[in-house]
Amino acid sequence: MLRLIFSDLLDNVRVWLGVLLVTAATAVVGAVVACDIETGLVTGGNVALALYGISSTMIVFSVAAALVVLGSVTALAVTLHQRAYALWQLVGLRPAHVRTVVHAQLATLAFTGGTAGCFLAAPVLRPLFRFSFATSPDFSSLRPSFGFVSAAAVVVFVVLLAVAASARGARRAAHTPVIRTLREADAPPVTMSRKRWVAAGAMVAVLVWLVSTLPGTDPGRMSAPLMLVGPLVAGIFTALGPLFMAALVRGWTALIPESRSSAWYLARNASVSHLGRSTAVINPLLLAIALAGGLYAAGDAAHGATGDPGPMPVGAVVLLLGGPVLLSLLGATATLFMASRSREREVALVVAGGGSPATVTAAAAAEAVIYVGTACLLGIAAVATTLLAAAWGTGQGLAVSAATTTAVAVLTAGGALLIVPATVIPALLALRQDVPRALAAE
Amino acid sequence: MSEYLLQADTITKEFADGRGETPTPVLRGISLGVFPGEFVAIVGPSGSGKSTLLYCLSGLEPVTSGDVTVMGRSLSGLGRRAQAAVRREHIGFVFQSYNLIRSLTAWENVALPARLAKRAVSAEDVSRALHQVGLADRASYKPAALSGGQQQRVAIARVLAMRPDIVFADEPTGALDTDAGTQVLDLLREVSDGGRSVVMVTHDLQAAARADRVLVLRDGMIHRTLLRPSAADVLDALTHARAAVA
Repeated sequence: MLRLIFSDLLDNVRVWLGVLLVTAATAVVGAVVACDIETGLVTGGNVALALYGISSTMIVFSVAAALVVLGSVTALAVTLHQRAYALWQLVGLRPAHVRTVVHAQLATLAFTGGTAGCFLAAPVLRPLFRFSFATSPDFSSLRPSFGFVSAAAVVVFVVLLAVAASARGARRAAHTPVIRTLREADAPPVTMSRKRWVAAGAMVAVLVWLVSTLPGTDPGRMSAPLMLVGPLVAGIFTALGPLFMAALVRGWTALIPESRSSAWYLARNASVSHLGRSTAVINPLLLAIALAGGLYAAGDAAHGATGDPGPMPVGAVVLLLGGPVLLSLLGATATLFMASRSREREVALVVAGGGSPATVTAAAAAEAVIYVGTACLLGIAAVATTLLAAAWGTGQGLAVSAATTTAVAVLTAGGALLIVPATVIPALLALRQDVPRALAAE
Repeated sequence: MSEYLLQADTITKEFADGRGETPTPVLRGISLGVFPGEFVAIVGPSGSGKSTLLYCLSGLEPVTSGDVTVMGRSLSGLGRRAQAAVRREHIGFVFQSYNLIRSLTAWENVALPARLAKRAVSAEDVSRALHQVGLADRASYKPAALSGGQQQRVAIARVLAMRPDIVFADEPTGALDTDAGTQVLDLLREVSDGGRSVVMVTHDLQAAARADRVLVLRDGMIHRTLLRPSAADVLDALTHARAAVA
């Protein structure tokens, strides 16, 4: 069993590297939170209480992002592996064993990634702490601490999170029909499961309750509940994705007629058809935009209501959002790299059909534009919901600040900067592949 | 211009193993010509270079030396863009598997080469081609919803709709049952009867016996050429080729 776990990890480096990267990033974020908590424990008093408050907000945002990203990444890893899982069953491994192997693989990677993340984070924790609390005199004299116990707790937390996020994928792996050995790794169609309905219903209920408490709330305290509106809306969009995502992508991409470009035609069909892959990229970016835009929209609403025009300190924004945004963007990028092998055959077919390298490259870039564009549209909807809730709660008019618009624009551009190369580079590499070998029967 | 649609002049192909050792020769100076409307089958023992020859002839695999000419145009020295243009204009493919782009429907897969060539896609041509292969009612199906034989027939419909001058088929019946294989061979025969050439690699004796000419490969060279052979003739030639290898 151990040999199977490790030889499979080594044979599928590209897929598992994505999981490793995301778990390492989760550990880096976890280390920042753990550092704040440990510093609070060492210091005590009101400073500790303030640090616990900040940490709890960071934990909520980071855990939400980590669950979305790790869930997507591990589910994709399982999908890309389904032929191997079917083969294992063919040679006599029971479904329960397959599930154990998947959990063991992910736990091994999470442990490795978590440990690496702690080592990577250690040297930057102190400067990051100083930068984040630069405008708070009470914190400037503190000495941030991050010891072995905190690091171990982070690693354990990352392992548990990865195993929990991968539960669905592991279950699916265990039930992979043996007939899959004869087929390509193709993501199963994304459907509205009961769990998705329950999750969406729960998030809608929390959102409605949250918004209903806004009227009459002290404007100075309104930013905290408003801050949660954007991520909640993003979560609802993620849960309800199978209902509308294909129609949304098809709808807005129809603005550019397919007849204009073969590349656009290929990209549009690929992103609608491989909806599992598309949503795995779109959802994390959507969450990042909703978090950042929502934070600024909430801050603006509170400042507007109290008459305090002060901008939100950059350090505080980095502390609250840096982790979840980093995780989301890395998750989206890792997803694309992990799935890049499945592109090789499609690229080979386009080349065999007379498609030029320029067409293949442009199609990959267009696909990235579709991912980023869709995430941006949904992110704007999430931020707009925050603004509407703020307007209703404060009784003031709808106001969109430059900071909110800039946050959405920066996150969209940042997402594009990562996602375009993550889509185009594998296409360029696929162009270097031998067409006959890519299309040869195994 | 040559009377051949496709011509190979002393082509060789070697594969380097990447460890600095002597490259392994796979094709050793093959020369051949394919006439318009001719159906040519390539057979040979495993490792004789059949598929490599097919891909070298189609330009998907660059030759080590020698030259391949398609419709009078030499493929040597052509850049990737120019080779893509030759494929768009003159060549069609039917592979053993993985013929179709999974995100496109059967109809869209048939129409794709025309779209890539920026030629007007005639809906009538596409529908007619699907009708010819008996899949008019599956036009809106994605590849995942089609059987292996149906996917193969869609690939042939793509060839019928595009009317390329030369069709290269690599083991087109390799993954099919007897009935589906016979259907595919009938369709390929129809293609060549329409004035286009078909070059097919196969290990199936019955399939090879449907060709006008059978080239028997051995050790990267043409060992024998058979004109309108029976399956028994092909078997006999193959047995000799295998015996010579052993």
